[in-house]
Amino acid sequence: MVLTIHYPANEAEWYAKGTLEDGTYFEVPAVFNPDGTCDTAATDTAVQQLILALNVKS
Amino acid sequence: MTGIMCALAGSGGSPYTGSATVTVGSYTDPSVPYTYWGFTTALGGSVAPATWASTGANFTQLAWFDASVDFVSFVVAGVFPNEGWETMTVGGVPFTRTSANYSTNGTNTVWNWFSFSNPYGTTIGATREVVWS
Repeated sequence: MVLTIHYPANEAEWYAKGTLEDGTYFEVPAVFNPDGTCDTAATDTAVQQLILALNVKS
Repeated sequence: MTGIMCALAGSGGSPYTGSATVTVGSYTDPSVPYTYWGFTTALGGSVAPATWASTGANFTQLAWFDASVDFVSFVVAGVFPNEGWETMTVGGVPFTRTSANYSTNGTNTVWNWFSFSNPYGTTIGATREVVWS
């Protein structure tokens, strides 16, 4: 479902940004490790939340 | 000062700041399942005015969803950047833009907040003021 994702290099960049297979562009607040690097696994969970929410058709 | 400049100055300089009033509707889809409270163009509730601040863009959703993940949803028709406003307040409950998941598919722009309780309440026909600042 996620076509591309760019994780932030540090907390100043804040967002993980990418696109889904259908072309949807997204920005998700990233989760950071204590050393300031991006926690990619936790950030991926946030992206999955976004996908679940977008799949709620209303 | 041009007309556009006057309009921007009158709204605090951003076309994204303003307010709207949601009259709460609700719908449960047993097949998914999910329940929402608030406004969606497809399922009910209402919002006045129908457009977001000075953008002229129609609201598509102002609602809280009880689904596989619970979330507050703000959706407008059109493509807008993730900037130009800081906080959406629903009935006095603030939602910070930078803590939202933002997405756009070229047709709609979506901001979703997770892990919040329902700011719209569960009383059908009740009203909630939504403010963008």
